Amino acid sequence: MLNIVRADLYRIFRGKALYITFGVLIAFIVLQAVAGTGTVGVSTGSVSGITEAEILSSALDEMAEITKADGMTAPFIMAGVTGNLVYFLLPLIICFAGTDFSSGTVKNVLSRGISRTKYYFAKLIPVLIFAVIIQVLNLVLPTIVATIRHGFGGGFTTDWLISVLKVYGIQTLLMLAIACVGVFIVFLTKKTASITALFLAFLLAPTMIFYILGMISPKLENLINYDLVTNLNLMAGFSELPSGDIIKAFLLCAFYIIVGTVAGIVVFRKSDIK
Amino acid sequence: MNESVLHTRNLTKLYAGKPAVDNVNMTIHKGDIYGLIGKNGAGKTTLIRMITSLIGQTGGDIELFGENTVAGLTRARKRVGCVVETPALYPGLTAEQNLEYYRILYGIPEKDRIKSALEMVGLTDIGNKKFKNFSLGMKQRLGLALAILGHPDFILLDEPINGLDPIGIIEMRETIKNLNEQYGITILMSSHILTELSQIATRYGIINNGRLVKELTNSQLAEQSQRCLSVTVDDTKKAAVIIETALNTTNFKSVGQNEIRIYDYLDNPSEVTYQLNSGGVRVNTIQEIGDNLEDYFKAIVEGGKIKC
Repeated sequence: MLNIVRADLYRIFRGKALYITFGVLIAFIVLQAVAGTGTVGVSTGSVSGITEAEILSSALDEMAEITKADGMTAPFIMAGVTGNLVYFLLPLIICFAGTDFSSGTVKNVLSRGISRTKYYFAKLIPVLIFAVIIQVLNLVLPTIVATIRHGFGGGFTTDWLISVLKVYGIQTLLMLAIACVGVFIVFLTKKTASITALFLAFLLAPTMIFYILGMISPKLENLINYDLVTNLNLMAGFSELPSGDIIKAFLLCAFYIIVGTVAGIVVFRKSDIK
Repeated sequence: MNESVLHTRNLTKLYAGKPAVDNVNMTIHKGDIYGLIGKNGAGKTTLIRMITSLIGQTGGDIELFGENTVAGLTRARKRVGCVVETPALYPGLTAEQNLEYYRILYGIPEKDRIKSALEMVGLTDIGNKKFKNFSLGMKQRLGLALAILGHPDFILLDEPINGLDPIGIIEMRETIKNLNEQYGITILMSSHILTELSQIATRYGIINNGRLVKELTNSQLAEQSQRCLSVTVDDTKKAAVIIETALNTTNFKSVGQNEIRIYDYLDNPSEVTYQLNSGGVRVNTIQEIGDNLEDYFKAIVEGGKIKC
């Protein structure tokens, strides 16, 4: 398994895809950090009864606050854009796993007696590692940018570190769960176009579907609590969230990671390689 | 008895209830160049895919190097190299980079294996050309280089000469022969280009509609397909004596009650008729018969009669 990972890293570092993905990703994060256009989590309160002018005024105040963010507050603000970073998983998933199916190179590996389970994990693990790297960049880069622009904003405290790790920890778990689903989609469909379409649908469709269902019956809107991207955005406001929501998010991650991986392996072990 | 490299027992693959491979019992011995012959869609590729575990079988067993358990087959497949259909490698990498990728993946410590594999297939002077810019012949050769990278004992080549130009075909043939003769590698090679296969194969398996209808050695094929004069007479015993004495040859054999096959005098059948008639044997028919591999294959798959 380790040999497959090593070989994939050899291949990927010789291609352009990884550099382009991370180039765009870093530019995106830095731009967000500099422009301060990140959204701060999600609104947990009701907006009914508030006028449009009040919402606009509140948003402008928020913007002003963000653009003045120092090194200590930047990570919490940037946690709000993690929902946008999940799209960067797509090129990574295709690079590591999808390419083998589109180029047919998977048969060179499987015909040599390498077990399909090992192969699956060898493709999954680098994607998970790079998902963690994305999160680390999302934490570190804005902190550096904000510190350069407005200072760190006080002394470094353990409480601050724990808060940051809590927010980014749960968000990273959610990213890993999304990555597991992405890799499952690769082994299910094996075609780049299908992988792209299904993965984007998985990220985008639930919000829309549950919103529409919510218009039919408000109870159905609660299904959105089981959507990974919604939870990812929700966890940006980790410190303000009730512990029940956080436990729910943990369980949701565990469910998607376990079910996604097991289903992926089962599907792959039964599938014929064309 | 030859050591068996591959043995299949009632190997079957069904697609939507229809057999693509139907109860195939095939044996490949160590040192064979086994030519798997069949029309397009006969089941050659499906059979190779099952052997290489790319697809699972619906029924039957595969025994590779004496191993037939899941763990044993996994071990045995490490001794196998293969090119299934079009060689698949990473388009953005050069030949050397592609082989380096697989060297790392297969856990081969010796870096010089790449150079020797490229040398064996004649791909040393291609510079930094990427795989996507290779001609089909170069791709086939790099596929073969990948197959031999791990120093396998058994190579499976699915239609390795498809799309090659005449020079490419000759080079590929020489490389395959060399691998077999010099390195003792057992080879299973599928093709529907029979003239080419007949130049290198030592054993043949003919597959039709998923069934392995015939397995035979090169000498059996030669015997089956040797051209001869088929003479039907009223008395084969008397005819045999005349052929030996008057025609002065022992290169003949009796087939059935009324037929004698004479492997000489192909250019002079009238002399045979004359001598037999002179000796009091009535000649009913005399005709030149015999098949090359193509005729033989055609007769087998089309249910025709094998003449010789």
